Amino acid sequence: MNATSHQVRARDLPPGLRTHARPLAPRRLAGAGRGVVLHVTLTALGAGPLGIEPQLAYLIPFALAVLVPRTVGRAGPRGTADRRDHRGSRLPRLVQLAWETAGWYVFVLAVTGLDLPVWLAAALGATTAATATLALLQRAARTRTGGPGAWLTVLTVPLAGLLAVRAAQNHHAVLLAAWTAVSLLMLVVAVLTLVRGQYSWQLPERVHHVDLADPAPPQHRFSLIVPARDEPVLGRTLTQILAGDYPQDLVDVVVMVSHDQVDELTRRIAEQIAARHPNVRVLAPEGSQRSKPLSLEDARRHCTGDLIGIVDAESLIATGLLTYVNTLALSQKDVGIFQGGVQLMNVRAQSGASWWRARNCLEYYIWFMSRLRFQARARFIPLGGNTVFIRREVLEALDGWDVSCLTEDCDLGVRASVAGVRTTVFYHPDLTTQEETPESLTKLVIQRTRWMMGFMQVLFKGDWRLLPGARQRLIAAEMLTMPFFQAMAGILLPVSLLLTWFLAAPTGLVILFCLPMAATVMSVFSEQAAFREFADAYDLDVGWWDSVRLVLSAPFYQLVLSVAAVRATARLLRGRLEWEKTSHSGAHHGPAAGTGRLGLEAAS
Amino acid sequence: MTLSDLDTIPLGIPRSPAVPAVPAVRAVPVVHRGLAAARAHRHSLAVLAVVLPVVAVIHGVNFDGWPGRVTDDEGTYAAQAYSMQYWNRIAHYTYWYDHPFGGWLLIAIYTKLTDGFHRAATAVTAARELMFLLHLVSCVLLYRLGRLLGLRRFFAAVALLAFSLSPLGLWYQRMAFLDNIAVMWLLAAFVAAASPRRSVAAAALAGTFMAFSFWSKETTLLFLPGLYVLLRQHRDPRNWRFVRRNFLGCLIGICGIYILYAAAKNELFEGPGHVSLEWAVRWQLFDRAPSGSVLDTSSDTYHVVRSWLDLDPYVVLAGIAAAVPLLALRRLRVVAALLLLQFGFIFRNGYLPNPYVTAMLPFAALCAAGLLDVILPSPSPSPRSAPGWLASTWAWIRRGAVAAALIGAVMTLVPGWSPKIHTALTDDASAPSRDATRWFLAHIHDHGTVVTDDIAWTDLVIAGRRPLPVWFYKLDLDPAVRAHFPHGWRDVNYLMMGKPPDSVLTEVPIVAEALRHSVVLRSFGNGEIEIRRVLPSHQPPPSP
Repeated sequence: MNATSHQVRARDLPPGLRTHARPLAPRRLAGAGRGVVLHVTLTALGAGPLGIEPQLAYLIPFALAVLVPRTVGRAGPRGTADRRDHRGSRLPRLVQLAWETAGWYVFVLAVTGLDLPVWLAAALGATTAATATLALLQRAARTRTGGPGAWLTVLTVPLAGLLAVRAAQNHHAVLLAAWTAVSLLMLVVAVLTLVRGQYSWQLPERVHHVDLADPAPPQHRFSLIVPARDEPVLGRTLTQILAGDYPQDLVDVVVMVSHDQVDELTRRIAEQIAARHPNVRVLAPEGSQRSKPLSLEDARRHCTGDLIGIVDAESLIATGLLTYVNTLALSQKDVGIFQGGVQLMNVRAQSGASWWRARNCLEYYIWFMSRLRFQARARFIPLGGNTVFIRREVLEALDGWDVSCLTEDCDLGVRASVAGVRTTVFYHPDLTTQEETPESLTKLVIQRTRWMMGFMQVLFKGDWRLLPGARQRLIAAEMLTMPFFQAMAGILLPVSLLLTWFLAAPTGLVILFCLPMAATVMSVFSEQAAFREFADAYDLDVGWWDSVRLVLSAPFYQLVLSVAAVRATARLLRGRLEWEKTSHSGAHHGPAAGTGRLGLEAAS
Repeated sequence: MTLSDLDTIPLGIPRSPAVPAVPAVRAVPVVHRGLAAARAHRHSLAVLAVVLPVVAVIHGVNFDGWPGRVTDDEGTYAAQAYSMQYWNRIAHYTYWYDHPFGGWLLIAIYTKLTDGFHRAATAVTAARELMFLLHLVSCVLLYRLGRLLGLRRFFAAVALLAFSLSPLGLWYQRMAFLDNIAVMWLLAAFVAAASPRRSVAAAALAGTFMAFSFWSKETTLLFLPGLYVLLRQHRDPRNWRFVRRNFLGCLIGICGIYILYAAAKNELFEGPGHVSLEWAVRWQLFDRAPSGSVLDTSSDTYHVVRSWLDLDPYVVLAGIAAAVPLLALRRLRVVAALLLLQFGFIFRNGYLPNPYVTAMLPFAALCAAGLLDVILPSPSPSPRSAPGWLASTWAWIRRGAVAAALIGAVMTLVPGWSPKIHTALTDDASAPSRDATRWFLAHIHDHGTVVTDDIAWTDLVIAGRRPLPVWFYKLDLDPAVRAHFPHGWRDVNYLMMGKPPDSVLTEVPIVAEALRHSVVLRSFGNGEIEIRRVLPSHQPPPSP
C-alpha cells in the first residue's frame, strides 16, 4: 500500500547495507504510487456504485493503509544493531495513522470545500499522506531515531470524534456491519480450511504419494530424541524403536528424563533398556524447571547422526519408518525436513465418554494426510513435534529449538519456512506413528490450551513476518490465528441467531450470517469421506453409528475447542505460561522472574 | 548467528543443498498457464474461430425484430430485472416464488453493468442482448461437452451448428426466456462433470453450476440424475468419495439458500396474508391445469408441438432418432437418456410450457452429431499390413453412410432453413409493440391510469409514466393492486395491450370489463396492440 510496506527486500542488499535506507528508492516511490492509485480506486468505488458517503468511503483505503503493512507486510531482517523491530514498517502505526488522517482532512476539504470530484480529492489526500510518510522515512533513516512523538495522534481526534458520533447514531447498522464482517471472515476461513483439508484428495494422482517399493540401502545415521516425563510406557516405545528394521548401528537413541522424584520410575525403565542396548543413552540433566524444548536442546548437543528425529515417549513408530526416511533423504537432497504421519488410533474408548474420540482421530488423519501436505507445498509449515526428522546442518543453521515457546515444533517449522528450508510430508498407514487420544475431555482441553497458547506465542513473536511472499504471510497469519477463529466459531451460531432476532436484520444479511454454518455443513460431508478413507486405510471396523456420532459431535467439539481457545487467551493475557497442574504431576512449577526462562513442563 | 548471516555459515557445519543461501520465492505467472492452455487447444480454438462468427451473425442481426413480442413472459422477466436494479425488489409486484429469481438477477447484473435499460430501444431488447451473449457461451460449452464426450472436432462443430442455426433454436434462443439461462448453466455443469482432471474442484463447480441452473429455472432438477451418472462415469476411484460429496454439498448448499431465503422472510409455509414457497411448488407440480395430450389435435399441447415442428422438424426428431441406438454406447448414454426422458415427458398429459423444447435442443444436437461420429470409423491406431477385406469394406460402408447423411442433411437443411433464417434476419415483427409504446408516450400526457402488458410496462416506467402502469394480470389477481381500484374498471383510463384469448379473459374480469367499455384510439400491427380509452358512458357493441 504505502512505501513502508515495500522496503527494499532484505535479501537484495548485502548484509552490511541492510540497516541503511536508500534515499527515495524507485521501489519506494512505486509503492507510494500504488498506494495513491489504490486510495483513489477504492474511494471512487465506495462513493459511486456502493453509494457510501464520500467521507466514509475514503476510510476504507485509509484503514487498509494503516493496518495492512504492519500486519502482513514483510519484515526486514533482524539484526542486533538494528533498532527497528521485526514488524517491518519503520514507522510506528500511530504515526502512519496520523499522516493518513491528515490525508483524510485534505480529502474532506477538497470534496466539501472546493467541490472537487471524488477521485481527484482522493488523489490529493493520498498524495499528501504518501509525501509526508516518505519525508518522515527519510528523516528517520538519517537520524536513526524513532519517529516523531505521540503528539501526532492529536491529529486523529476530530476523525475519531466524527466516527464515534456516526457510530452512536447508527449503532444498529454498525453492529450488523461488524457482525457481517466477522461472518464473512469466518466464511472465508471455513472454506479455506475445507479446501485445504481436502488437498490430498483434490486430484486422484495426489492420493497415493508414498512408494514403499525400492528402499535405498541404509546410509544415513539417525539420532532419535525421546523426551520423556513420567511415562510408564516408555519401555514399550523404546522397544518398538529398537525393533525397527533399520540397522541398529546406524541408530542412536537419546532418552531425556528429569532428575527428580517424579521421573524416578521412567528413569529406571530407561536405564534398564540402556544397559541392554549400547545405542541407547539416557540423559537426566539437573535443574528444577524442565520442559520439552529444553530437553530437546540438551539432547541436541549429544546427537551425532545426520538426521535428528523426535519420537514422543508414548507413541509407537512403524518398523519401516527409518528405512523410508533414509530413502527420502537420499533421493531428495534439497529437502531439509521430513515430517511423517502421526495417527490416533482409538476411535472408541474402552471406558469413559468417547463421543469426541472419533473426531479427534479424524482431525489427526486430515491434518497429517492432507493439510500438512498443503502447507509443505505452500512453503509454510508448522511442524508436528513427533516423527519429524531434520538434517543436522539444517537444525544447526536454525539454531535449534526455542526454549521459551510452548509449541517449539511449530516455532521451528516457522523459522525453517522463513529460511526457505523445504519440507516433505509423507503419510502412509504402514508408516504412521500410533498414539492414543487423551484420557479424558479435560486432558484434551488442557492439551489444546497449550497448543493454542503456543500458536499465539509464535504469532506474536513475529518470525512469520520474515516470510518472503505475501501469500505465504497470509497463510501463516491465518494458521497462527486459528485459535481466535476457533473461539469465534463456537459462538457464531448463537450470536447470529440473537442478532437476527433482536435487530431484525434484512434478509440478505440473515443469509450471510448463515453461510459460515453452511460451510461447516459442507465440511461435515467431506469429513465423512475422510472418515471412510481412514477406516479403509487402517481396516477399522466402523459402522453407521460411528458416522452419525461423528456428525452429531461436530458442534459440541467446536464448543470444546472454543473453550480451550478462550482459556488460552486468558492464560496468555495473565502471563501464566506455566504448566497446569495435572493429576499425576505433584511438583509445583512457577514462572521464573525476569530471567526470560519461564517455567514450563513437558506436556504429555 | 542471525538469519542474515546464513550465507556465511562458519566452517564445521557442511553446506548442504537443504540449507538454502537465499530463500527462494516461487512465482507462478498465471499468464504463462493461460498461454500454455491456449496452445494445447489451438485446433479447437481455430474451429471455434470459424464457426462462432457465423453463429454470432445469424443470432445477432435483428435479434430484437424476430421473433416479435409473442409472449408476455419476456416483458415480465425484463420488468423484474428492472425492479431488481432500480427498486432493490425481487419483482415489480409481489414475488410469489413462481421461479427462483436467479435468472432475472443475471439480467439485472447485465443491465447494471451496461446500463441496458437506458441504452436499448426497449427493456425486452436489453434482456435479449444478454440472451445473445449467453447463447455464444452456450455454443462454446456445447462444443466443449461434445469434445469431452469423445466427439471429433468436426462433429462437435456440427452439433454446435445444429444447436444454433436451427430456426427452432433461433426462435427460442433469441427470446428472453429463463430456459436459455438455465440451459447455459446446465451445459457448464455437464462440462465440469465430464472434466478429464477428475478433481474435487471440478465436481464442486459442477454442483455449483447445477445449483445456478436450478436458481434460474427450477425444472432443470430433472437433469440432476443424468448429471450425477455422468460424474460417476468419469470418476476416479481414488478420490470418488470426496468428489461426490463435494458435488452434492455444493448443490444442496446453494439450492438450500433459496429455501433459506423463503424461511427468512417467513414465506416458507402457507399462511394467511402472504405468499408462500410451499403453495407455489404445489401449484407448479399438481394444481396447474394440464394442457392436454399431445395426441389430441385440439389440445394446447398439440398446438405447441405443432408450432415447434413448423419451425424446424429436423434437429429434434433427428436427435431423438439418434438417441435410441446411442443408449448402447457408454460415453453418450447419459445424453441420449436425458433426451429420451424429456421426449417422454411430453406425453405426460400435464402442463407443457411453450419454451420446453429449449432444453431439448443441445441434447438433440449432441445425439445427432454423436451418432455420426460413432458411425464414422476411427483411423486404426497401428497401420496393419493386411486388414481383412470384410473389415475394410465395412469401414468404407460406414464412411459412405456418414457422407451420405451429411450430404443429405446439407441438401435438406439449406433450402429448408434458408427462408426462415432470412426471415429471422430481416423481419421486424416487434415493430407494433415498439411503435405502440412510442405513440402512447408521445401523445398521451395526462395522468390517467394505464393497464398494459408487461412488455410495455418497463418502457413506460423508464419513460417516467406516473402513476405507474398496471400489468393487466395483477389488476384482478393481486389484492394489493386491486385496492387501488375501488371502482373496478371505471378507475382504469387507458388500455394498451392486445386482445388476450378468452381463457385468459375469464381470469381477469375487471380487465375484460374495461376492454368492453373502451374505444380504440390507435391500432398497431393489424390489431396486435391496441391503445384504448376507457369511457364509462360507452355502451359496448351488442355481441353477435
